[in-house]
Amino acid sequence: MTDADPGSTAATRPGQRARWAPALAGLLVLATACAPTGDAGDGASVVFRFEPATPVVGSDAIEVRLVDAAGEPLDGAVVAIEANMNHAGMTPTFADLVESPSRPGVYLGEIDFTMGGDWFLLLEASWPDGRRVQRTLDVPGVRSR
Amino acid sequence: MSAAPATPRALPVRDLLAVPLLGALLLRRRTWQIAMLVASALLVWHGLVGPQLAPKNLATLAVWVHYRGLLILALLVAGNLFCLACPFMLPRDLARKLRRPTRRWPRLLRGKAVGIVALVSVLYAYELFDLWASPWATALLILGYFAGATLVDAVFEGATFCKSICPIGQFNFVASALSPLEVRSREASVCATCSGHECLTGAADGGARGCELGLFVPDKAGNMDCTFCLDCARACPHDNVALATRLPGEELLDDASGSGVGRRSQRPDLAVLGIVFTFAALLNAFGMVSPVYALQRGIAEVLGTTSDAAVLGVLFAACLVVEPVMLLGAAAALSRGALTGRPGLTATVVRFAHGLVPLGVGIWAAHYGFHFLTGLWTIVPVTQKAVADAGLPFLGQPRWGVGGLGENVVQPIEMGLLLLGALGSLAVLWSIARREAPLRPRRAFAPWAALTMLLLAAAVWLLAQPMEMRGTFLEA
Repeated sequence: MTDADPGSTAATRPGQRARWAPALAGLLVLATACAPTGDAGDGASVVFRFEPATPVVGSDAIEVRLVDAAGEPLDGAVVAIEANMNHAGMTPTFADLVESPSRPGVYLGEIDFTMGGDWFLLLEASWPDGRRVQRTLDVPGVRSR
Repeated sequence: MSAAPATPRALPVRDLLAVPLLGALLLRRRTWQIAMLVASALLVWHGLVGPQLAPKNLATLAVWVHYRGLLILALLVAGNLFCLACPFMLPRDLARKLRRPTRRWPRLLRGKAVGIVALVSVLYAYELFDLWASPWATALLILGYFAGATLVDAVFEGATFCKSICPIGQFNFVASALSPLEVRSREASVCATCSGHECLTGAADGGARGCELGLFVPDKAGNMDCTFCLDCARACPHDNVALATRLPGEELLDDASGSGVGRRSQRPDLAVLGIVFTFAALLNAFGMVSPVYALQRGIAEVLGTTSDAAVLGVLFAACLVVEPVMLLGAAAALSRGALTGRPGLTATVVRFAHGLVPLGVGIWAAHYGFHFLTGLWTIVPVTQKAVADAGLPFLGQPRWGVGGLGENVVQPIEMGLLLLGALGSLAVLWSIARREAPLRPRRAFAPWAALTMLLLAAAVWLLAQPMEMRGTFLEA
């Protein structure tokens, strides 16, 4: 199973920017100063995993677990996912997740990976009272069949 | 405007500059450049401040999907239109109004050596830093082009950046050999009586500059080093410059001496540029299929390193140096015995290498065409979102589900482009073999034809692989 880092918010590789630093330090400061910050800060943690653990092209089962800062499950949400490839120009796929009747705060669904490669998921969980959790979750290395 | 050029040719020749409205539009270079400058500014802005997600950002989407696709399409159906509309020249021209450059580009660096290094460097950076996945890095790359053109041409005379350095320019110069349009004189007799040579030196009243790349229209042969800027057409007092139709690849068939370029058979740097162009097409496509990751892991194990830069460097050296040297060296060794005067290996390679360019163009077109066609409409929702984010929601809600043509439609197009490229290469190589080995052309041709088929097979295999669009970094 692939467990995501709850703080994962970048669609680019960890450490990628660091590799630029020696050559482009000045411009890097400018660029990162202008770039939007991550969308964490709502106190929620998002953990997800696939079945099979390393996703393959086609329809893959996904399980998303939402907990608050105290570790309590965040149940009763409407959870939607938009899956995109890291490479621009590919059509995204969409999935609506359904909460497990036996496991509060755990949401189940299927993601259709149309091509091998690096993907990321745009997850949005919303509640009737207006609360909202948004995350960008990396899914590197979806395998071709 | 006068009618078509009088140069006798097998195919009917049309002069696009003589077509009403179209000719006038083509000559309005500043308008196209300003439009491209505005587009560039938008891409840089969105790349730096927009969402740092490649499919959601105009910088990555427009540059790596639509610009590259349209670039190769324009080269194949028209000519070097993107150099014509190059926005990098606007700040450069502005800087030159403030300070005229006085230095000449060092003689040692003339030719294509620096341009080849720059082209390979951009391709290397593209893989190493996953430029396709990084909006802010793509924005910096665009700014880098503006800075490079302005700084280089602020110091050195002429169009030094275009001719000797610009990676996009070198790519376009090679690929435009397959373009159906070429800037040339309308009437050779008019040029024969011209004493001002304004197409080269600029209009006498100073209103229009001459060719900054040193191409003298009457002696020009082909599209190498021609940016389609049409400065020559604006400067010519006799209205004797045409943007004429021609047989694509015509300039590869003979070894005519062209102004500012000379004879191809005497230009090893042009041969190396063509070789790098062709093999880089394979390498760039190789970077998008799963076997590359296994190869990289193998290289890393052999080297005992986890450095992406080192592994990628070895891969580049293998594909752009070792492989071409071995393959072209073998083809040259097998064919040179049939050539008149039995030239050396290097001289044989220099004479035949240009024959691989059509296949290279076919591979680039198939690869870039895939991304462009499968992602054709993805620019729509990203533009809608970008405009809405800028406080102008008049384009409506983004329609994120739109894509482009299906892979089942695009794949036959890819294969068709590869086959056309291979056929073009075979035709050019046969022409070169007949010229260089009039007594035994088949023997001279056979090794190069075999090499072409080998490269075609590699390209077909690569593009038939299921794509795995990942960074070419080592897995953790």
